[in-house]
Amino acid sequence: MTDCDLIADAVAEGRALTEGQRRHVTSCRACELLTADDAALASMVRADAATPDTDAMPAALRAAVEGASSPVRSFSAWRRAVRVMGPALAFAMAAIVWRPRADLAHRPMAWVVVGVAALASLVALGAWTSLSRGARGLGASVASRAAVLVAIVLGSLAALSSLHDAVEGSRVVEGSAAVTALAHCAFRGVTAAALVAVLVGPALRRTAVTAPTLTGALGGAVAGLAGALTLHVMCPVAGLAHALVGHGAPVVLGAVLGALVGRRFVAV
Amino acid sequence: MQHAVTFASLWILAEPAGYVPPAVADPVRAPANPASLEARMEAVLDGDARAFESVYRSLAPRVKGFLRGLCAGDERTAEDLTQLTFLKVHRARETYLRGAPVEPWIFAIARRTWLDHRRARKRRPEDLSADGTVPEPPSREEAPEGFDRLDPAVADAIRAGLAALPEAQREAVVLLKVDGLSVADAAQIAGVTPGALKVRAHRGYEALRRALGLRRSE
Repeated sequence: MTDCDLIADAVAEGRALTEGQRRHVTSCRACELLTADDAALASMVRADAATPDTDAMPAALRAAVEGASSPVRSFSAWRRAVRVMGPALAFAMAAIVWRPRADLAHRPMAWVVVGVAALASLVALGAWTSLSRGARGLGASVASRAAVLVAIVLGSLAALSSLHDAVEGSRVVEGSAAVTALAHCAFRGVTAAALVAVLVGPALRRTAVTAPTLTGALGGAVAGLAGALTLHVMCPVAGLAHALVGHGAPVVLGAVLGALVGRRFVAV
Repeated sequence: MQHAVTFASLWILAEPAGYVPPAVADPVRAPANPASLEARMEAVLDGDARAFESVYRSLAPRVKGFLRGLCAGDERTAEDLTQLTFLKVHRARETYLRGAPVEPWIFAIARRTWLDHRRARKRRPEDLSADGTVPEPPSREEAPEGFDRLDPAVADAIRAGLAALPEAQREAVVLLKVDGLSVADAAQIAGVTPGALKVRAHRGYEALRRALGLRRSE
């Protein structure tokens, strides 16, 4: 890049020029005009936006503040994430204890543990990312929230497909029964996810300072994942399509509903 | 005549010595309280209502300027949204991370307040007064004595230029050029990557420059 390009970049980003760039400006007519124009415009735009100092808060705002100025606890992403992970994972673990699928006993225990741990890790990652404040207090970056959302959706589908093969204790359903089983599982998974969402909702309420749509989608995906995990340790039906569509539906639907509906709920 | 005033003001305001970064000290923005904004915000978390008022007095003018830029100069809406923003700030004070910069946090809340307002306006495009009539168009507030306000012709030209920009570009210009936020903070507030914000700001600024340049040549 030439000095002129670097100066044009600095001007666009509002960065101060380096000493070398300042010297270049004095010898380059185009850069001199560019920086002078920029300075003039920046001054004008700032001056136009400037507002006189404010003497006091409006009465309505003062009343609202004075009526509710009790001390509040410092924000802790960890504390809140635990409030999200707790119900989500407890729900699934209760399902393992209460009514585990019969075929789990016939599978290598390491395989089962890895699958469940992978899903639980995704729950934890989603909870943490949606609640983290980041270094500047604005939350995780948009790119990292989007990346974690994609990881949750794709990772959960991969993890769910890991226990789909027919072994002793599992059932294979075909034809119209397969469609019925699929719809049944999707409904049960979404219901479980809705229950988890009700439990974890208060921890996420009004926490997203930026990108509430993505954060809502993340929260929905976490609740959906908890529902899918619960369902997956209970449902004995074998088959890749059943696992991906029937058990994956809560995750995908949770993310979509979270983005559409949860956005307003999690936004500050 | 108007264009002559615009032209003259443009060059009066220009800094012939070269580029001046946006973060220059500005008496209009000087905080009223010597304690840092972050310290005052922490006092708010500890239940100090007077500290909140101090934060309000320091930042309300800038937040209003920011919202006025987003609202394309609508003074009355900017005023309402500023109050609403600070109400939200107080309600959501628990989400403030102790020690983190206060300004990007409050600007992010202001931007969200504006987006909510814009969405509501799309559903209910015309506001009526309490008596059922269409209210008067917003007018520029009277500046108090001693406050250095831009020449009305220049201000109108800038506002027209900003209003003509696509919303995303206007937002980028206001965040970077008016409020002097860093690219990283502005990008996070706008919900885009820093690269995308730079592109928006660059295009917006070019368009604004062209718009004002055209006026100069008229």
